Amino acid sequence: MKKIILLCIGMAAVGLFPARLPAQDFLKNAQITGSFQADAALYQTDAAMGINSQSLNGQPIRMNGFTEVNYEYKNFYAGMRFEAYLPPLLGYDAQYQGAGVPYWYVKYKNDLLEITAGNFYEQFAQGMTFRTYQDWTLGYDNSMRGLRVKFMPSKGITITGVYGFQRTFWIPYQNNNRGIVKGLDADFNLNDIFNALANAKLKITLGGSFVSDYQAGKTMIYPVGDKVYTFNLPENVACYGGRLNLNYAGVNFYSEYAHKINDPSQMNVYIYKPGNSILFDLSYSRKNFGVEIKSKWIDNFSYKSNRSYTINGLDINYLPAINKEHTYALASMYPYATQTTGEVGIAAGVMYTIPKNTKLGGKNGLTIAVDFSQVNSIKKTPVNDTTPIGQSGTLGYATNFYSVGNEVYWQETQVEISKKFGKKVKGIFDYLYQTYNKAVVQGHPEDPLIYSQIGIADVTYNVNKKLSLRWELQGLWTKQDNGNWAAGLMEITISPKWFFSVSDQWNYGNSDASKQLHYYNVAAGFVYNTSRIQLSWGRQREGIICVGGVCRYVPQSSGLTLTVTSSF
Amino acid sequence: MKLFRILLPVLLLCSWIITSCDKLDPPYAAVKTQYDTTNKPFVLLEEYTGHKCNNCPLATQKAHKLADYYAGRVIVMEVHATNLADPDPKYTLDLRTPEGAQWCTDFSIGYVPRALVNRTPVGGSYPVNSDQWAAAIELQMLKAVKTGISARSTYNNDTKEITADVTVRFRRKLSSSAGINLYILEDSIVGLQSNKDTAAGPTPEINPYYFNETFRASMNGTYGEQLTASVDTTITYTYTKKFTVTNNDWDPTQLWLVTTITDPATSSGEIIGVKKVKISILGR
Repeated sequence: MKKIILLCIGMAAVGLFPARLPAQDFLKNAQITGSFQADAALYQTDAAMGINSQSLNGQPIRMNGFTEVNYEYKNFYAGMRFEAYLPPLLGYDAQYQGAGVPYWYVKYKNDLLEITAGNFYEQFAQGMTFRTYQDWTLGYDNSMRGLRVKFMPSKGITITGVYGFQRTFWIPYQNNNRGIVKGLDADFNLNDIFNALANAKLKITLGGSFVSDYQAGKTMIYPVGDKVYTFNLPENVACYGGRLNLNYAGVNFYSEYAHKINDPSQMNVYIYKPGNSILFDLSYSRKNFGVEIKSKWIDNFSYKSNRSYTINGLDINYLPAINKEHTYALASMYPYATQTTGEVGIAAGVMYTIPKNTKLGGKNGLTIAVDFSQVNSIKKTPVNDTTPIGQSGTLGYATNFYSVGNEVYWQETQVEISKKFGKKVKGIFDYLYQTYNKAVVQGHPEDPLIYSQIGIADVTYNVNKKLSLRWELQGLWTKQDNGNWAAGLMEITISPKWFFSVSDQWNYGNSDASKQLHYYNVAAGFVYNTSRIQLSWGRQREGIICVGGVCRYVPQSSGLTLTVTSSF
Repeated sequence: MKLFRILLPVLLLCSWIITSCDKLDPPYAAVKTQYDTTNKPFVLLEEYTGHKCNNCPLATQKAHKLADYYAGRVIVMEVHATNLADPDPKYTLDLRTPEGAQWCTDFSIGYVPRALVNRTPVGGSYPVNSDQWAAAIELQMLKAVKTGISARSTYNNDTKEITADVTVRFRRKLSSSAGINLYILEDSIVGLQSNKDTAAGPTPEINPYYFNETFRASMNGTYGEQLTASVDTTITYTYTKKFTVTNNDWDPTQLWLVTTITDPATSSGEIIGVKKVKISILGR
């Protein structure tokens, strides 16, 4: 059915924009690109990890996969993505189970206009008022289905309008089961607009956006304490913001502010306080040196197109993370997730490369990076003497602009040294000190603050042009949570086609001796042009993974996994 | 003309912005008085929960508050399912059931706490989040009463057998057949429950926690049996079923029978009638 719709829209588009397209050109001279990925797993029982056949729910074989195809001919674009979760891999929402085409679009674009019908991903500035995106690792997709128009009336001005509803799993849009989202964004590059500024060293970009979400229902019944209440609800919730970007001689300053009117939802436990969010980013870079300071303040700023959603999904906006994301296994054991109910954070980083042929830099130079980030709660006070903080059906709380609460959610100090030792050996050495509020970030109120120290050594030895060896040695030391960990990895790459790795993470410091497990993994991969096949076997420890402050729970598992990716 | 070309988009933009902001003034909420149950149907609120779910005690409290508010018209059934119901060395109780696991899959429960309300989709989805339970119940309360159910159930201490005798009168004709399900519920099971809301009890755990209205088993299969192949509003239908209790952990003094009548013409087997009665012990 969707293919028929796609075909019809394609034909309509050709009719609407009769840019003299002979049928054979439409096929012959078109450009087609695409990508494919399949992640399959054969899970096995593992007595030491407590995984039995019942935990696997009788479905040890699982697969997530997609194929995306994009078509382009002159000003005309079309595409679709087929997805299958049969059933979804462990840790992905069970509501994904099924297969189909959740994403398709047709687009026409010229110098003045860009019109998209169907699904689209769009972001206004950093996304604080509007962002739709897809992340395969997170199992996240909040694409819009509707219409998008981009209008570029003159150089330096872009006006974008969006109108539609968002994707949530396979649930069809019906009976107002989610909101209708409308948005408008204007972006102005003053150096492009005004001739007098064309050659100015100071580059100025500013913009503004307005988004509104319509959800049907003016009242709802909601129990609070001993009573049952009727809550008045706003059917139209607006969010608007502005931003400014200045760039001068290597110095860049960016700031964005957004405000949201009353938006009672399950995420804020139905309080009516307006939300605010602000972001600052100041950076400077030149050869061998870079410094950046970022800060954000978030106050009641979850914005979803279904007010009863608490899971990852139907987010209209995105609140950027300021802390670093790590790829090393133990450094990413305690990842931070953005707290939409309120947080204030600061992050600073300095990177300096000591030049070659100096005392410290040696023959090849040496790069040192120091990063610090901290996120706290915001300070909340009662709105009056009789209403507790966060009471449903009230304003909830009061706070001052950029207030800082006492509760630490996250803190990290990282020192990283990168060094080449001759032509064949290079190393990366890290020390991190993290403070992690698991009670808040992961919703485990019983857990204390976790203080951890992490050390990492990553050494690569290029034996020759084809063969390289890489070792990782990591340690995590903490007195809280599961105690100390050690991890090691050895990777062999035979360019350009083969790679092999063996790794282990060992929770040797767990206070429960039965949980001092090894999470071993053996993997092999083959690369052919743009295709890659990887087969691995081993154990996966329980945890959460985060991308940009948005997180997904990963349950522990054991078994064989196969990943195939390709693009054309 | 030039002024008009500028003014028109500005006016359109302003009117759109104004109509896209519903700023509310306090008070935002008003206390509801007792519900008028006249000519209102009974509704099954089937809450999916787990002892390791720290959001669940507050949700369960809300379910009971709604049951109170609707003056008994809402019958609560707690189904323990998903990985948060799995037992482990700390949370030793195993309240999971094969039926619960199957419903969890079939109705795409996904996570807890969520509920099915009369197994009827709300906005295209069967599971309903706890803040929307009242709204889903309200939709059911708008429907006409379709059945009159009376039920009697006994437990025989000697044979460990539960007997259910049910009679059903239909007040509305159905397009096809009608199904019947008999569920056994147990109150006052004592265990450990994870909790993060002080409004629901001590955190991070409530110990002891009393698990009430816990779904234990279905007497007649995961999706029940057919009561009649065609519905006649002039006939009183009778249904009898026996079930032998094999689990010694059950406390016979705390058992209840929930009877639901379903409309198999709907894809989910929508519930059109519910009755809850205490299972009495023979000889007492």
